Amino acid sequence: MNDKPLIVQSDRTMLLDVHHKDSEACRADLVKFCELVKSPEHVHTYTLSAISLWNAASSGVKSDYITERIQYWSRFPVGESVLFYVNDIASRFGKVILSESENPMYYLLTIKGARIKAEMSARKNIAKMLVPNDEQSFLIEKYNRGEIKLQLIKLGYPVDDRIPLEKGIPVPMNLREKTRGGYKFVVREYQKQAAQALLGDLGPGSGYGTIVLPCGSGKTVVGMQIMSQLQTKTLIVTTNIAAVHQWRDEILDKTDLKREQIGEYTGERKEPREVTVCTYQVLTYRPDKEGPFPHLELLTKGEWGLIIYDEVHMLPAPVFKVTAELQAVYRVGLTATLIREDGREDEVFSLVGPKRFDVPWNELQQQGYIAEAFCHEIRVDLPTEMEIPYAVGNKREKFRMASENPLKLDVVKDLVKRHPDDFILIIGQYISQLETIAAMFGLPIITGSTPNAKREELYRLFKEGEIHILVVSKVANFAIDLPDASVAIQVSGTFGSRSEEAQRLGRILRPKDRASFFYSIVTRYSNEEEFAANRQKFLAEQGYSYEIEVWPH
Amino acid sequence: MATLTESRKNAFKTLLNRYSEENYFYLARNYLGLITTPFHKPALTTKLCNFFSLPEIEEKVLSLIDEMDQIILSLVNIAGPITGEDIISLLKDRYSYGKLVRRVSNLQERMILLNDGGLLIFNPLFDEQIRDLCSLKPLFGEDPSQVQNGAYCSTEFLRAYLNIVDREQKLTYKEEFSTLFPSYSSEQLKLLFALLGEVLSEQCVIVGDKRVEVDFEKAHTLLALNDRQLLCMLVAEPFTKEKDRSKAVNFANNLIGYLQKIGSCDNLSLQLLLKLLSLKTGIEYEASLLERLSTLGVLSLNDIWQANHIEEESERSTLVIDSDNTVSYSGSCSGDDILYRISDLTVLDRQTSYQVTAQSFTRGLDGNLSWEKVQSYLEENSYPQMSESLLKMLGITHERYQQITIYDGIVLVTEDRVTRLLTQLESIQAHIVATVAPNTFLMKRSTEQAWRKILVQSGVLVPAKKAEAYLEVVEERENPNFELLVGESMVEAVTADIPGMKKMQPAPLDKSLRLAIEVSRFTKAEKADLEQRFKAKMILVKEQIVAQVVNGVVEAGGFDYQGKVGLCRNAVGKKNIALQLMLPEQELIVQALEVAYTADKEALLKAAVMPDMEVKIIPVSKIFLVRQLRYHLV
Repeated sequence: MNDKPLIVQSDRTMLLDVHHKDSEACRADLVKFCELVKSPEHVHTYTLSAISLWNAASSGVKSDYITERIQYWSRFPVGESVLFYVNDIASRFGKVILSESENPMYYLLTIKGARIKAEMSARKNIAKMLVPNDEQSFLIEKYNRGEIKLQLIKLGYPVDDRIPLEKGIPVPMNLREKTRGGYKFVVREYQKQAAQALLGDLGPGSGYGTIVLPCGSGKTVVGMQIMSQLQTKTLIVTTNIAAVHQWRDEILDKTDLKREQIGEYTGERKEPREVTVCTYQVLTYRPDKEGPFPHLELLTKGEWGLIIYDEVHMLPAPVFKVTAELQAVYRVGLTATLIREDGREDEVFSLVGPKRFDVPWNELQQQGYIAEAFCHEIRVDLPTEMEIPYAVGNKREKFRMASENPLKLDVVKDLVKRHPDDFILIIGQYISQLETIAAMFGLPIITGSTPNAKREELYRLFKEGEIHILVVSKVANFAIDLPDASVAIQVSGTFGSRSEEAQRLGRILRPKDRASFFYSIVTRYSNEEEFAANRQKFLAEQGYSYEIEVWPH
Repeated sequence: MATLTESRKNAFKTLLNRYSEENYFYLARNYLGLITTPFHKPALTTKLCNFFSLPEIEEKVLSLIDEMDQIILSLVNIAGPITGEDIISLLKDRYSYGKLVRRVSNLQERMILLNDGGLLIFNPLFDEQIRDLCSLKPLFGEDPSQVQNGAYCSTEFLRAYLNIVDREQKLTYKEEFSTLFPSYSSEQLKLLFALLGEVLSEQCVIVGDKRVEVDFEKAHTLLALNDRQLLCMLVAEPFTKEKDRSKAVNFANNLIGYLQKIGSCDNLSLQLLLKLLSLKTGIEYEASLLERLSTLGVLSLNDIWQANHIEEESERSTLVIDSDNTVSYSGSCSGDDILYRISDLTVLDRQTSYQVTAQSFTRGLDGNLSWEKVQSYLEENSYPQMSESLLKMLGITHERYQQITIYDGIVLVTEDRVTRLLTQLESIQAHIVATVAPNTFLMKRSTEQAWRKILVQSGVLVPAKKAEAYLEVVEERENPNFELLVGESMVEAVTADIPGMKKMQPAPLDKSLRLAIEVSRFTKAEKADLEQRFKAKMILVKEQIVAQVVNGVVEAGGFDYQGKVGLCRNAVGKKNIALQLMLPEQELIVQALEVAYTADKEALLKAAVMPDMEVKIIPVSKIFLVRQLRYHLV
């Protein structure tokens, strides 16, 4: 045992003691070839995965370097199996190379090793894409570029894609030093690093990937930084119209693009421009269940030089398929919580691109780039008269009753009193509950049925300080930027959704001159407690701890 | 060169004086030359003692030790006093019986091994020097290596196992457990779970049939052992009939000690070690032992057997309690550590992690841990500071836990909320026999599972166990061996203190001695006798080369029919003389019982074939070589 900050486990996870004097230097090495799994208060967990090693290999990081660094930082001798894994997995990169072929209809897939070739040919789903060429290579149809990469990754052989991404139609743009609003604007160091991690030298193997940054840390700015470096026709896909408008306003505010260069492609308005912002919803809209998706063509035929997938963890299934065909385009996925309840995180990595940048939440909090937040779980009893109905209800009914517990209103009232000078969001799952709260306190409310214009108006009033409290449904879970909000009161949620909890906390993480408070009101002695515990897992892994309060009945 | 103490010299003399006259004078005449009568035996013994005490003699004796000598001596070194038959039996897979008999006898003739009441021991005059020459290498393979860092059944593993059993209330292994033990193979885990389930049930550490429970008092006793002691206990467990329990533990302790030293060996060598230590400790070797050693991870089979490094005691680090309620540490917990009783294992590895949840904490309460104990445990062991939110969460859970107390499965004492449920919930009314007092209900014992379920579904945290004060012991199972077995297992680690890798390079036979024999003016028989003793490394100095026949004829073959018959006749009835017979297709070592003649005057040797002593009648004419061996020098 020696005085080093890292413990390497036999399942290839690495535990970093963040209080160690060398932890920063160690972390700087780890991020080159590991993935951050969780970053609670004391011990951060990284893991060596095939994807992270191939990603490292594609960036020129050699396996010798990786094993040397691991051994250097490790407190204990590193297990042989870990070192073997690194060498074995890293050595697979470069065994299958995708390059241009003489025939413009095809790409050339060169395979180093007869065994790999035989293995590929034996797999039906791969073999059907292969056109025999010579002993060492196959040709593949250009539209199969994404699919072959996906299937080969599943087989354990990453494709070394040496075809440079296509430069789109040029769109000159620059970031402003002063925003249109007159504020000084500087891209933060980690935002620059994130963009750089994605774009690299713009050569083969770079220009696509996923960037994971905490809510409120300025992912939009990272997107704009990438746009300004590529200077090309760009499509931004985001979760809802409010977010579309936010992107539009941010681009206008912080770049020299003109209003007419930025288009909106939504259910309401369809104006493709040099920079277009659309929603996932419009792309996946189809008039009937079996019919085609009429607006997906925007993605495929728009001749985009860059596609930004905002909140990439929300990427819907039809877009997955199309994304597989868009492998020649520069693309970036942005998210704070790469957790998909359908478990398709790997597909995001292989289609949009691997995770290129990630930073622990608490690190940005310490640096002041996101607000310090205190989380509370407030437990409140069910009213006596609801105890029996709750006891006899089924699981779903129990959850609904617990979520809509009327005594939560008293708690909300009290919490609002506790924060007279704060901007407060009251967030919930059930519209009737939210409407009751809004009615009882005379507060404005935004739900899915609120017209977009009304939503925009309410968001504007909130931002401008005209209103201090806003009641919102899950439509405000994602991508809504309300910089001054510093208190969120969650009265109900979607069962045990970890990403929802994190995204809701994210609404109050914009840095400001005060701390933020996140309250989750949960019914005591109900199954809502269990769901709440599950919801909190992701944030707990980012270093947030919930203080539990029992509300006096 | 070690200074010889008087006690050693006395020991030498005592042993020698116990030899039979024949053997005594055989040795005396060889080493001291002609012995003329009258003689004084104590003086002769002293002379022999002085002879072997000479540094140059000691050096010469030791320099002639070759690799096979070293193997036999190393075996004696490990086994301790051992019979010649046992040495031969242990090495019979490596060498022919005849060769072994010759070599064991020869070590006695060279006075490297002495006979002590039928058991062979090192000559006390060279004891230390011989031990220095002993080595594990020739015994256990030519290419031993370092122990590897493989997974074995440590106390931390046992703790993790008990945590899972407590949580699952079952002994069954599930494939999903493999992620909790990344350094163990799934196959090994499956076997380990089965083995521990069996052993711990047998020892009543785990009780119950369909739904099992952990007896934490016993578990703590077991967990107080260090890794080595736990393995000793588990290896020894099948042998633990009451009388040989400590022998079994001693065997296991020795075995682990030697394996740690050897590192790796082939199957034959491993079998030899097991048999050798069984013999040493008086344990009956069982073939199933190998499988147990492999399951426990003492050994792994990777082409050859590879011993896994058994950790020295490593104290547990402070607990790091993170915001996700993960509690992690490295090293080994003390026996009475309670973390595994209030949390769920998330990984057992270099750094071990458990996660505390409301459910896992409730399990701890069900297991009779008090909230105060849990609280003070977490506060005392946390680094850098105790997680206040965790404490709060546990405090609230405890409060909720206390809302209901079940006495003897029928009386419920509740708090107001639960009382409301009990009085108003229709489905539970059928299970209430009577309301004894406000907040106290008499419940049906026969439907206990049903009303428990209703209460749980209604959001009540129902204690799994009945309150202790009213516990009725329905059946008490005890295994009196448990405490004894654990007690016996608290042994100091045995370390194999013999050098690991020494290879012998014996000095060549002294040419000047051979020349002296050749040029002497002795008779042919005297010269032949000297030559035979010289080859047997019994002639060490020129003073031994004197005109005498010590052994007489020791070999006859070919057409020397009378010579062969003479040797056979000479050996009849002598326990210390064996005959090596070379027959057309086999070699036999026999003890001659009788020489008889057929009507045609053909000599027939009736002999007991060693080692089984099967009696055979062999026509001497069929033997093409007879050699006399001094078998027992006693």
